[in-house]
This record gives sequence, C-alpha cells and structure tokens, in this order.
Amino acid sequence: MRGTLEIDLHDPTLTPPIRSIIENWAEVDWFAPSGITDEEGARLFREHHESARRNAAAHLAANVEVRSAIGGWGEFVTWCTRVRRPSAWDWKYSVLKPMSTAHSKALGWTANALPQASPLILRVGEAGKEVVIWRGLYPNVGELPGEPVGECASFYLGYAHSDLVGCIEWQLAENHDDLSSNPYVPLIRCYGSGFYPFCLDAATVVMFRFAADEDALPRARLVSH
Amino acid sequence: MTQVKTRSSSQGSISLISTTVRHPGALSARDRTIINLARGKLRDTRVEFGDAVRALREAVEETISGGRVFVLGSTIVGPIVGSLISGVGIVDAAAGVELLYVRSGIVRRSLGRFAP
Repeated sequence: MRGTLEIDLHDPTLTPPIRSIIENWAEVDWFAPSGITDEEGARLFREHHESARRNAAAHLAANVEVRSAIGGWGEFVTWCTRVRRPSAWDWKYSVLKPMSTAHSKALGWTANALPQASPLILRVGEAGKEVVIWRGLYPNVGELPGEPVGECASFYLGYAHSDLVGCIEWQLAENHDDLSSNPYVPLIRCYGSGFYPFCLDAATVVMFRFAADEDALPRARLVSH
Repeated sequence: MTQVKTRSSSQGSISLISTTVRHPGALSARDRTIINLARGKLRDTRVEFGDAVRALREAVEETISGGRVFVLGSTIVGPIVGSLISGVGIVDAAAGVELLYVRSGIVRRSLGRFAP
C-alpha cells in the first residue's frame, strides 16, 4: 500500500534532488511482495553498506553477510521482535543516526539553514526563540491491522522514515544534485523494491520480503477499515 | 478536555480527557529518560510550548546520537511534537503541555502532563 504524504512536491523551495528522494519514498508500496530477486535485493543493500562504510567504517564490518528471508506478517513480527530486544544491536541508533548527524556537523549544516517557508520543517515558539522541527514524511498507510502486526508495522515505518530524513539531510548538507554518494539512497530503494532489512549486528543483515501468496499476506486486512 | 484533530483527516477529531487517562506503561525506558531530562530543563511554573519543544529536542539530542523530534500530528491549538519511533509526543493544551501517544498519525491516548 502506498502511504499518503502531506507535502506539495511542486513547492519551489524543494530542490531537484530532494524532490527526487521524496518521489521515490512516495512510490514505496509498503508491505507488498517484491518485484525483484533476492540477489538484486542483496545488491542494493551491499551498495548501501559500502557507501555507509566510507563514512562510518568504525561501526560497520568490511564484509556484510546478507541473508534472505520470506514470509507473511507472522515472520515479519518475529524479525521485528528480534531486533527490538533490549539486548539486540540497534542498526539505526548505532550507525545510521550518528552517521547522519556527524556528516551534517562536519559540513556545518543545520535545519535552521532551510528557507523559512520550507515544507520540510516547522518553526515553533516566539520569533527570535524559534525551535526548528522536522515535519517528517511518515507514510500514512491507513489503519494497520490488530496487534502485534500493527505495532510492528508502525515500528518499521518509523525506522524506515528515519532513513528518509537521514537521506534528505545528507543531500541538503552536501548541497549538490548528485545522489550517487548518499548512503541512504540505496536503502530507500530497498524499501521501494519490497525488501525490508533487519540488521542483526554490524556484519549480518536479513533481507526480508513478503511472500506473493495472498494467504500468507493478509493485505485485505490492511486496506479495509 | 482537549480536542485533538489528527493529520489523518479521515479520522475526524478525537476527544481526550487529559487529566484522568494515564497509561505510564506505554513509555519505554528510553522515553522516560528523555522526558525526565527534558522536564529537568524546565524550571518555570508556567511553560510555553516553544520552551517545552526546545527542552524535548535537546533531551533527545543528548540521549540519542542523531536523535530528532518530529511533528507527529496537529491539534486545534498546534502541533504534536515527539518521536516517530515510540509515538510519544507533546502538545499544547489548555491545562499545560501534555504527553500523548500517537501512532500512524492518530492520537491513541493521553499519557498525562508533560509540564505544568
């Protein structure tokens, strides 16, 4: 299912690369079966990993083992539960979020640099004491099914969304149109291709995809509300 | 009573009785750490929403490397600002800044007061 986003892609303050990133995000058909092979999915993740390692080598293994997994919501919930255990290695908090912040800091970029009218941010508080907050582009996919599926799907969307913001922030800090060195771009492509990475540690990722079998994937429950 | 209208227009508006509904179990250890740190930054008896947002953002940044706060939705008086991961956010309410649990753009419940 494609989420609805609350943004005008024709907003004049959006630069072409940012517009392109958001368009790709808007095209993601969440929790749908993949249209590409496991090998192609693995290649996308390796592309991300190699790019991320160029910027966060201390936090990622030189070689990543890419495992494939396929299933329905039951398996998806199992993987979500596994990576959310308190003792689990946290991919986003350990690598991706710090990498984005370090990159912006190195280039001296903050969200305060965005135009006053940018649809990406909201300024809160009195003039002169404003706090800049990301509006975010969380995909509103409608009412999710009952627990624990809904809660796990919401968790995954939230984590994937942090990759989108990392992707946008990276490109804004770079301040050019070339997306080829942005380590988050291949990740957005993973989601768009129907692959859902679950990183177990700095050297192991499970690339989960939903089975095409409708019995294994109760999508009707997702769109009916 | 706080009238809350979420970003999901199809959901219409939701009413919350802010002072009586509390579900502290919805807060993770990380949420509690951040909220307590943010509260510690607010010393005034009457806190402006902008000050609460600033304190929350600083607490998130100090607790999580690369942590950010987002607009989770909006109410009739302004935005709900918080974590897209946990769904916990703050909103300006008549009785003071309030904690809410939001998921998929929909307010699920009040978590009580954030600041006086």
